[in-house]
Amino acid sequence: MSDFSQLVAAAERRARRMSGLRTAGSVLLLGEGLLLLGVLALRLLRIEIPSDAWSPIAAVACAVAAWIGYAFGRRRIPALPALLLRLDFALDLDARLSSLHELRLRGDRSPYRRRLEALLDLSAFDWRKGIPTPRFGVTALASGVGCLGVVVFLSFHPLPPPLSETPAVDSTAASSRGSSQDQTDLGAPIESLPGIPPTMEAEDAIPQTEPASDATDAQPFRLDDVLSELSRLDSSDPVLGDAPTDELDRLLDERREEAAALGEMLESILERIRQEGGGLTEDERQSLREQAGQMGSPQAVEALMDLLEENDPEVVEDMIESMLSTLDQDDTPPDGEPDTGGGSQSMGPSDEEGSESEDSLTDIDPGEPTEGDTGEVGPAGSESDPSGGTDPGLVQTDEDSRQPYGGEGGAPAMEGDPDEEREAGFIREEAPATLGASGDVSPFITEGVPIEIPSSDSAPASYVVDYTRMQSILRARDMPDDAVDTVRQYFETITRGGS
Amino acid sequence: MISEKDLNQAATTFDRLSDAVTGVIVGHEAAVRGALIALLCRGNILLEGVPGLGKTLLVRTLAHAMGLRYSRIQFTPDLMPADIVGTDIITEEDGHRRFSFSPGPVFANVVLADEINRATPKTQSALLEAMEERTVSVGTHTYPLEEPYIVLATQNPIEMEGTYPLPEAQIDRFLLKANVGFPTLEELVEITSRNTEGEGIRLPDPVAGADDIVLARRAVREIPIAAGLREYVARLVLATHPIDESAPAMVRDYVEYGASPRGALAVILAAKAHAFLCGEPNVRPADIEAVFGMALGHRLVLNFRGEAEGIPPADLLSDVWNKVRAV
Repeated sequence: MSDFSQLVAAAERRARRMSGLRTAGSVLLLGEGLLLLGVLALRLLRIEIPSDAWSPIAAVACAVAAWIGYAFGRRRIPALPALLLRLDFALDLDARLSSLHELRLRGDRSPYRRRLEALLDLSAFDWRKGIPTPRFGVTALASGVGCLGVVVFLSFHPLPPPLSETPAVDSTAASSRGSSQDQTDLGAPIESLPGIPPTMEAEDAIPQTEPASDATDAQPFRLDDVLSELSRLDSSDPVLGDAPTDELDRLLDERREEAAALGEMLESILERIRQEGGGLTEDERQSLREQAGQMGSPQAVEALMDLLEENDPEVVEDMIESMLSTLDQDDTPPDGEPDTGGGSQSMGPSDEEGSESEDSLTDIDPGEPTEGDTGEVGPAGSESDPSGGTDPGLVQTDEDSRQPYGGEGGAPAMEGDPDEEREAGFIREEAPATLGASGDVSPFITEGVPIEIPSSDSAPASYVVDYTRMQSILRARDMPDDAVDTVRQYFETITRGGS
Repeated sequence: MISEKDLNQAATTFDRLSDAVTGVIVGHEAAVRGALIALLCRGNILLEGVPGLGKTLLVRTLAHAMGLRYSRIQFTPDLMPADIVGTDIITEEDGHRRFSFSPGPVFANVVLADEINRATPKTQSALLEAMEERTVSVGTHTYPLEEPYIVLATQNPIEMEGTYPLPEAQIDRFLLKANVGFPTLEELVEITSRNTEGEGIRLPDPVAGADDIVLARRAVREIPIAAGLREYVARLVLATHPIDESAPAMVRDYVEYGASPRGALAVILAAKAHAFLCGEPNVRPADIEAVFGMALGHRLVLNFRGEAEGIPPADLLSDVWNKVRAV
């Protein structure tokens, strides 16, 4: 092959590559740009995608499309005469390359061909300068890669959801998970939430921030530590929203029913053992097994299994008494606290009772008063008041330093106090530093947490928590943002649910 | 296929011819170059300029330098077609009378149609066949013209009274139209010096023959032009049409009809001849640019607005040239 033929072939190859580069860059920029716009739109609209791998898959798809575009661009054969003429113009060759190509195509042996070949010293110029790397292709390729990087970055660094725009289901689910977690297994990572019934698990799968779970996986933390930190907070600038907690209410009702059924069963067994002596009968074991199968809490199931495996009647009796005492303790509302019933059924261990957490039989969130069991609370104990779900971890023993504060359930107690006449609007009040053994369960939630109490009697009673301060403290302890969100959602749910 | 020797001979011949013409004609390089190009392309040329600029002298010099038969036709309003192409006349020989054809001045190698726009369109049209087909039809007979054949016409652009503008069909037959401009100071001094001293203008001796011209024409046609440049020329011609999407704004505004396909042929052929005269082995973009105005300027038909505003075709073509890119 002559030098000229080699030049033409090489120029054609390079032109194909450049064309492929242009096409690939265009495709990649278009694809990644659209992907980035989509991601941004989804983030702005707070729409979550329930898959961890969607963004890498989309990015890879765009890269594959770019590669296909490159292949397609290479196949777009540039018109050789036009390509050579472009070379002629770029290299100022007076159209000699393209003219010689024309003569060679015709098989012309005229003197003109010899003259052209003599004039064209192919080694005297760099033909590659005539087919430069396309700026657009390179720029588009770089922009596409940049978009890809931004997409990947965004997929692993989600923005925290806005304080006032938490999806209802998410809030409820997260709150439920948090409340049941802290009562049963405060030592476990927050993402491993036991005791949630299948229905709740299914709802949890709906819109959860994926990166949040990743971050939690990578950095587990203990909710009781979080809550103890919160308990040391001062109240300031709280803001409460209106997150519905119907799902939480339903869950808590189920937990209470399970606990009540278990308590009745254990009491009957204990009474029989005391009267008749002996260990568990087969019927009782069967009943307890069935009950264990219905319990949502692994700890409760574990305690029941330990009981079932025990054959010593005295030990069995002790274990039943211990379980009943735990149930009684959880069922008994603190003295003087108006929000009783379910709202005071703290089954989980407190900070001080951390060692007893394994003995908890249920992970029922007792902070949900019903209309029936909040009678002495009045309107404050509304059926949807989640603030009654006192976190046992926040229970303090210093009753003297405590005021009967609470969530919405506690608000009527404030209304009933003639000294607490408030003007319309909001006034800022400090939450009590300590709580008594009984009373409104709301202070247990807001213990040490900056809260704000509406001053208008006509306005719906509500408490708000200073999430800003709360978040700053949690983040100062390197807590992941999603965990902070979970805590926030927990407080949102228990403090304003049902309002 | 032309040989190296023939190519060299043709190139040498036209070098000598060009030198002979420019030795007599002072200035007017574009017109001289246009005349040579038209000669090389087997075409005709229209020289436009005011009287006294040496148009007739140019044609006479060219004819003398080539040693070809030369005729001059002074076009006037009363000139008849038969005065150009010839006519059948009755002759008597051996007591028998019969018609015989008497050729007109069009039967020559180099024909100067001086002030062609002064004749009526009917008479102007008498040249059409000779210019294009190189034949003359009289009665039922068609007479071929001797090669090489070239018509060089002149017209006065300012003295328009009593003139008949050339019809489009005829003006399209001219391969090129060259403007003969006024000489510069130096050229004028040289002109006066040559014409007022000694024996005055002395026409050159023949430096080429008919065969040389034919050989050179073959060499010109074999000059290669890149396919990309051919397409470029086609796009240039299309851009002179106001209805074409590539036409610039001026063309859309002032042109009624653009150049014909014959215009594209003229550009390419003239570019080849220009490259030949420049000693280049191929057509360059510069060759196209050099002949673009001469080949297409007279083929644009301006609309009323263009005529009213006196838009020079050169401006329109410059706009086209600037807009249409080769690559």
